[in-house]
Amino acid sequence: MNIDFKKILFALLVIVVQCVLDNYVDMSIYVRIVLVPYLILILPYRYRTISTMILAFLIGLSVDIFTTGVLGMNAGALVAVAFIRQKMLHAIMDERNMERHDSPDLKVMGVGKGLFYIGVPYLLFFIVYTLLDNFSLRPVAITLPKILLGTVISGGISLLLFKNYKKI
Amino acid sequence: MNRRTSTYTALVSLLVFILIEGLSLLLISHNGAMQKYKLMVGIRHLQSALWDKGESTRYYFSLKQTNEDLEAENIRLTRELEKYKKFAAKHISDSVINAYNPEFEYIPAIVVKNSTNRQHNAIILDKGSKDGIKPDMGVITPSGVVGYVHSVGENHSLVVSFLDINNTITAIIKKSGTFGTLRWKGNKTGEATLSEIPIHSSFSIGDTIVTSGFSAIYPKGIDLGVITSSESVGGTSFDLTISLFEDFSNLHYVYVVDNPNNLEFINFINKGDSLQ
Repeated sequence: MNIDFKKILFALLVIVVQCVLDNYVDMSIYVRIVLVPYLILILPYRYRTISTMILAFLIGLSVDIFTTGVLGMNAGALVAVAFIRQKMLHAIMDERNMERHDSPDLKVMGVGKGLFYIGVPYLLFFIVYTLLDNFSLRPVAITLPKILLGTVISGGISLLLFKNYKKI
Repeated sequence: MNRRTSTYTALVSLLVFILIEGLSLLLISHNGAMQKYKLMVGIRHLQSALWDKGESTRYYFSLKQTNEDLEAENIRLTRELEKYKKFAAKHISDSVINAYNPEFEYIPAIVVKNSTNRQHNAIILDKGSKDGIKPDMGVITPSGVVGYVHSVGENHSLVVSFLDINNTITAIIKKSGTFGTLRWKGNKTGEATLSEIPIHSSFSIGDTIVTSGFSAIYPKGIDLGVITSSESVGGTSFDLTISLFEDFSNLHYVYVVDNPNNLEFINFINKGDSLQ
């Protein structure tokens, strides 16, 4: 099987799992497990910001169609992740490493930088998602735990996936 | 030159980012559940078909619980009917009973999509304008208020859930008749706040609160929940925490409440507003 085809199948699987999680797994009002930003973060280095944003928009829109029904929520939040991806990569990786490897790799980055690379986009995703849902971050007592718990749990799962991504 | 190119690329990226975010906002504002259900009819049909299938699967696995709930409700209604029959046989003549028109009509519906983990939650029902559903009709179950119909398609309708931080209903404490505003707290699906309860009013923990019937959307006297705690607000009123009877995470059968006098009621309210 062609390796790219395998990765496309993996991406589709992640989208389907995301839809199943959103539709049928109601963990708590504070916890939403989000996997789709991970798809953006593992894209090869050759994907520039604009193409990544367009791809993020399409992935987010497909999740919106099959879950919340409010088109634009996941799409908008995911585009924000795509927007900062290249900037974050340039901030934590040197050019030689980016030229030598095809896509972000936790082994090359190291755990500290990997945590930063996963954590910040996830935090941004949940902040933008909350803003698009409510047009405000208030009441903070509810939105703040939601954002933080979502970031920690979803980011943690993504970090585990990121660690094993090369085996796929 | 290289620097200029990278600045140019960054600017274009920013512009595309703003454009796509703008498009997302546009989609949300035009297509958001709270805004316009009628848009994107094609996608809605696809969504509805998928949700119907998903809901059928979910329903299959919760059949036992649903049956038990229906059985309990049936027993409760039979007992209540028995009581009223006995009372009517003693005190009310048949001609009076036959001449009585119920204030509300009920349309049974099935929940095909229900969200509970957002600040503004919505519910999609499998009944629409073809079945007589109209905007502003109330949606209830025997365990409480579910929400009100926001907009209606031919075969489906969109309900603003009670689990929307902007949705309020007027409720009264059954024992004392004191009324206040009931609003979802936003953090737990089973908890709401009954606010603006005057400081002099009497209530106890465990008291039941019911719908007031002031709005003409919901019938009077539907049990909503019980008081679990109270908190004084500035020494002038109480905020009561209410544990709701309704289990929003397990909604399946609901009743859409049709009040034929609702339009007249709304006209009166509008007239009253214009007087001010």
